[in-house]
Amino acid sequence: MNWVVLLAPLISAVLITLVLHPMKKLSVLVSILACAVSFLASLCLFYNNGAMHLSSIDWLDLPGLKVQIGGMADHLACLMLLVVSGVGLCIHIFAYGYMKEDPGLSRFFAKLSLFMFSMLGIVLANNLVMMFIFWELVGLSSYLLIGFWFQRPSAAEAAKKAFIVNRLGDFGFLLGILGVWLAWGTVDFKELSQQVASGHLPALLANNPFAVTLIGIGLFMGCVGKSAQFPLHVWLPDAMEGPTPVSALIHAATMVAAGVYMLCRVFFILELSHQVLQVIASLGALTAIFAALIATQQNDIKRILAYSTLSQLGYMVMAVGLGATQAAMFHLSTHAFFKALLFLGAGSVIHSLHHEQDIWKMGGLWKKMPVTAWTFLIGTLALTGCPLLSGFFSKDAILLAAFQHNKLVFSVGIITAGLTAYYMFRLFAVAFLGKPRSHAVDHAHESPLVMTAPLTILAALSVFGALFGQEEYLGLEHANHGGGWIVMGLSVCMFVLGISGGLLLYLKSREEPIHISLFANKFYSDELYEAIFVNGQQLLARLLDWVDRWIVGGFLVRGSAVLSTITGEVLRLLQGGNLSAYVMVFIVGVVFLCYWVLVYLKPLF
Amino acid sequence: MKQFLLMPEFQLLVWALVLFVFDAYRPQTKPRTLAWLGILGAALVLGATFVEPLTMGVGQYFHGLYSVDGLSIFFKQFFLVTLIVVLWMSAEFVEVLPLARNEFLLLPMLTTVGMLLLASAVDFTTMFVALELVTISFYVLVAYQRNRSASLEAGVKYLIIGALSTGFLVYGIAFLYGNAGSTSFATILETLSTNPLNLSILFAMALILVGLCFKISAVPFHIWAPDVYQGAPTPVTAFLAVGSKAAGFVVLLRLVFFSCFGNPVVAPYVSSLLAVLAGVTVILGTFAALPQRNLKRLLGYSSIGHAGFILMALSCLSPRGVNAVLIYLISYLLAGLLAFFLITVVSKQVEGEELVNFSGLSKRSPLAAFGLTVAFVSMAGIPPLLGFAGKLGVLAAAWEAQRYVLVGIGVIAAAVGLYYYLSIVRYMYWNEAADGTAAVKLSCSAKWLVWLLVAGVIVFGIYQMPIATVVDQVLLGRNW
Repeated sequence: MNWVVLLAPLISAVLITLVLHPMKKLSVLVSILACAVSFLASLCLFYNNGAMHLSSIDWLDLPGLKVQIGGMADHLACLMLLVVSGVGLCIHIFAYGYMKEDPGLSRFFAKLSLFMFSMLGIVLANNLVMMFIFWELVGLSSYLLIGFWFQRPSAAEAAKKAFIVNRLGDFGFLLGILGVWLAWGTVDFKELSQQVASGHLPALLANNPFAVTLIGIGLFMGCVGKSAQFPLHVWLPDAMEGPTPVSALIHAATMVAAGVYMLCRVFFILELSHQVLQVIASLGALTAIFAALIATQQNDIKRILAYSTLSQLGYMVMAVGLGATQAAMFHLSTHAFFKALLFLGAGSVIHSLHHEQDIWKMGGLWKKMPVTAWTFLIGTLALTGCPLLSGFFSKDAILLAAFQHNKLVFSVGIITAGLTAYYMFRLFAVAFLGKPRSHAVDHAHESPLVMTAPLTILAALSVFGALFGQEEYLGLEHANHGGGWIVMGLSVCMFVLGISGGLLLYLKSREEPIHISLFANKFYSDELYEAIFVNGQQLLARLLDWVDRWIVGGFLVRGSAVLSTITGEVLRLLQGGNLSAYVMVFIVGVVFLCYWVLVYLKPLF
Repeated sequence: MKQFLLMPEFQLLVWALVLFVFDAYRPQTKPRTLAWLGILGAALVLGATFVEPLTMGVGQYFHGLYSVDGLSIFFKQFFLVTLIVVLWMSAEFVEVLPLARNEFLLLPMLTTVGMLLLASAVDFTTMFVALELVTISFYVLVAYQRNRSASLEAGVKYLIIGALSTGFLVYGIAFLYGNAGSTSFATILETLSTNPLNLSILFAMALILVGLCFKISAVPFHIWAPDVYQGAPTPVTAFLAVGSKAAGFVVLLRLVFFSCFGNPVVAPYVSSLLAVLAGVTVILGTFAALPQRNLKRLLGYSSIGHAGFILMALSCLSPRGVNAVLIYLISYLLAGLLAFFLITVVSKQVEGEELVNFSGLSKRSPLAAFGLTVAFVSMAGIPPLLGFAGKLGVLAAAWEAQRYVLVGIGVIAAAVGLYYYLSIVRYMYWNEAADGTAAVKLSCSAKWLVWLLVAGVIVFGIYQMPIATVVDQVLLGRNW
C-alpha cells in the first residue's frame, strides 16, 4: 500500500508513453496527479514516521548476497520524500505553463514522471544495490530530459556530456558498493549500520587499514559525479540546455542533491575513516568557492544559477565532511525551495522574453513582471542568507559546524557567502532593476497564473521553510555550542558587503564594468579537459584501434572464426546421412564406454 | 483403485482415450477444437499435480514401482507444460498434413503419459515400460508426414538406432538384475554397496548409460539427432528436443543419485566419465552447428550442445549441480519451445526451414522476429534473459566441483554459440527478404502463446526467485 509513493509516477510514465500520449492535456493531468499522489503519500509516511511498514521482496538471493527491493522510510528518507515530491509538484504545475506550446508535451511529462519514479526510488532504497539501480535510472532520465530538444546539437551534446561524466562517478560508486559488500558481506543499510555500530571491523578492514578509506572514496565518487563536485562539475552548467523546469527540478532541487543524500545515508561508513571526511570537506569547500568565483562573471541567467547551485552543493558536501549531516540535509531542503524558485523565476523571465537568456539584454523587468520579480527577490535573499529567511539558518548551521571543526574551511565558506550575495545581486540588479537594456524587454509581460502560483508557493516555503525545518533537522543542539554569535555576525557582515558590492557596481551600468577572463572562462576548465582528456583519449583510441584491428580482429576473431568453421566442416563429415555409418558410430561409442570401464574401473576389485 | 484415479498418468490417459473415441464417432471435428480439448485436459492434469502431495501423498506406491516425490512432481509439471505448448503448436501445424490430422494431436498425449510415468519410475521395470511407451509413440510421430520422404527417412533412422539402444539398455538391466536380484533402484543401490563389485556390474552400468545417452543425445550416441530433428514434423522436433531429452535426464538423475551409479565407490568414476561426455557433447553440438543452413538442423545441433551443458552440471554430482540442471531445463523449455513454435508458424507460410527463408522476417512479422530473437538470445545465455541464469548455474557448479577444463569449454562454447544464434538474428533483421514475399501472419492464439513464452523468458530472467523457490523445493529433504 505504501508503495503508492513510488508506483504512482511509474504508472503515469508507462500510461503516458504507451496509451495517453496523443492526448496532451490528459497526459499532463495524469502526470501532475501522479506527483500529487506521491506528495500526499509522502505526507502520510512522514506523519506516521517509522510506524508505516514498507513490504519488501527478495530480488536476488544468492549465497552471500541478498538484494531486496525494499523501502526504508526513516526520518531522513521521509524528509527527503517530502522535499522531492513537494518541490516536484510545484515544478510539474509550472512546467505545464512553460511547455504548453511544445509539440512534445506528452513526452516531456512522461519523462518527468519517470524521473520522479527514479528519484523517489533512490530516497526509499533500503540497500546500496537498489539505490544504484535507481541512481542509474535517474541518470537516464536526466539524460533524456537534458536532451529533450534533441534537434538542437548543443542539447544533444550536453545530454551526452552529462551522461558520460556521470558514468565516471558511478564507476567509483559501484567499486565502493563492491567494497562494502566484500568487507561486510551485505549491502543492506540496516544490517550494515548494525554491524558498524557493533564496533568490530570485519577481517578485511582490520587487516588493511587503508581499505576503509578506499571504500569511502569510492562511495564519495558517486556523489562527485551526481552532485557535480570539482573536478566532475563540468556537466552541470551545460545541462542548462534542457527546458528550464527540468533545470529547476533535476539540476537544482532534487537529483544533484541525491549525492548529498547518499552521503548522509552511508555516513556511518564514511565516518570510519578520518581521511575520507577530510577529502570530502576540502573538495566541498573547493567546489563552493570555485563555482562562486566563476558565477561572478557569467552573463547567462541560467548559467549563473547553475554555478550558484554548484557552489551551494559544495556547501552541503562540505557539511557532510565536517560531520554535520543534519546541517547538510537542512541546507539541501531549503536550497531545494529557493533554488527551484529562482530557476522557475528565470524560466518565467525567459518565457516572456521569448527565450532570451542574456542578462545584459534584460533590465527593468521589475515593473513588467511584478510577481516574478518579487518572488525572485525573495529567492535571492534566501539564497544569499538574508537574516530570518530559510537560507540564513541553514547556511549558518553549516558555517557554525565549520567554525567548530576547521577554521580554514570556515574562512572559505564565509568568503563564498559574501561572493554569493555579490553575484546574486549583480544578477538581480542587471536583470530586474534599472532601465531596459534591449528591445526584447518591450514586449515582456507577467506570466500566467499556472506559472506564478508555484512561484508564490515556493517563495512562501523559502521564507518560512526554516521555521518548520530547524527543529526537524537540528533538534535543540543548535544553540548550545560555542561561537554561534560570532558566526552569525560574520555571515551578516558578508551578506551586507556582498549586497552593497553587487548593487553599487551594477545598478547603473549598461555593460560589464569588470573583466576577469579567468572567471569568465570558468578557470579554463573546459579547455583543460579538452587538452588533457580529449587528446589523451584520442591517443589511447588510436592505440586501441590498432590493437583491435590487427590483434583482436585479425588474429583472434578471424583466426578463431576460421578454426571454428573448419572444425564445423569436419564434424559435418561425420554426419553423412548413411544409416550403417550411424550404427557404426554408435557401436564405437559402446565399445569406448566398455573399454573405459575395463581400463579405469578394473583396479576397483 | 483410489490411487489409480489420482495418478496424473491415468487421468491423462483417460482423457486421451475419450478424445480418441470422440474423434472416431465425429471425424468431422476440426483439428483445432480437438487440440484445445487436449490442452484443456493437460491443463487440468497440470493443476492436479500441484495438489498431488496432498491428494496422493508423497511416498512409494504399487509395491515400490511408483514414487511421488519432489522430483517426480517437478518433471510431471515440466512434461505437461511441454505437452500444452506442443499441442498448441500442432494446432497451427496440422493443416499441412494431408490426412489423419486428428491422430497427430492425440498421439503426443500418449507420449506424455509415458513421460509422466517415467518421472515417477523408481524401478527398472516401470522405467523400461515408460521409456518404451515414449520411444515407440515417437517412432510414429517422427514418421507422421508419410508424403514427405525426409520424415519417413527420419522415422526409420530413429527406429533403428532407437531399437539398438533399447537392446543395450535391456541387456544392461538384465545383467544388473542378475547381480542384485532386484529391479528396484533403491534395493540395487543397497545390494551393490554391501557386496563386492564385479565386472558384470560395471558392464551393466555402461550399457544402461548407452541407452540413456541415446535419449539425451550425448556424443557419441547423438548421431541420429540432426537427421531426425530436421526430418520430423516441427512440433515433434520440439517435443523430442525438450520433452524426450528431459525424460532422459530425470532417469539419469535418479540413477546417478539413488541407484546403481550412486554407489560411493563408483560415483567418482561416473562423475568423471559424465564430465568427459559432457565436454565432448558441448564441443560437438556447438561447433557442428556453425556451418548449418537449415534452421531445424541447426537447432538439432544446438540441442545437443544444451544437453552437453546439462550433463556438465549433472557430472558435478552436487546439490548445486542438480539445481543447475533443473534451472537449465526450465530455461530451455521456455526458449526452445518458443523458437520451435515460431519456426512452425513461420515455415508453414514461407514454405521452407532454411535460414534464407527467414530473411527480413522483422519486416514481415515483427512479433515473430522479436520472439525468435528473445529465444535465441536466451539460448545464447545473454543476461538478463533466463538462459543466462541457466548457463551461469552450470558454470558455477562446474567451478565449484573444480572442473576448470569444463568451465573453459563451456565459456568457449557459449561464445561460439553466440555467433550462430546471432547470425539467425542477423538474417531476420538485416537481410532483405526476396521480392514478392508476403507478410507472415500469426493467429490470435499464436500471438498469445508467443507473448506468454517471451514474458516467461524475460520476467524469470530478471526476477528468478519463483524458479529458485520451485527448484529448492525439489532439492529439499533429499540426500543429493
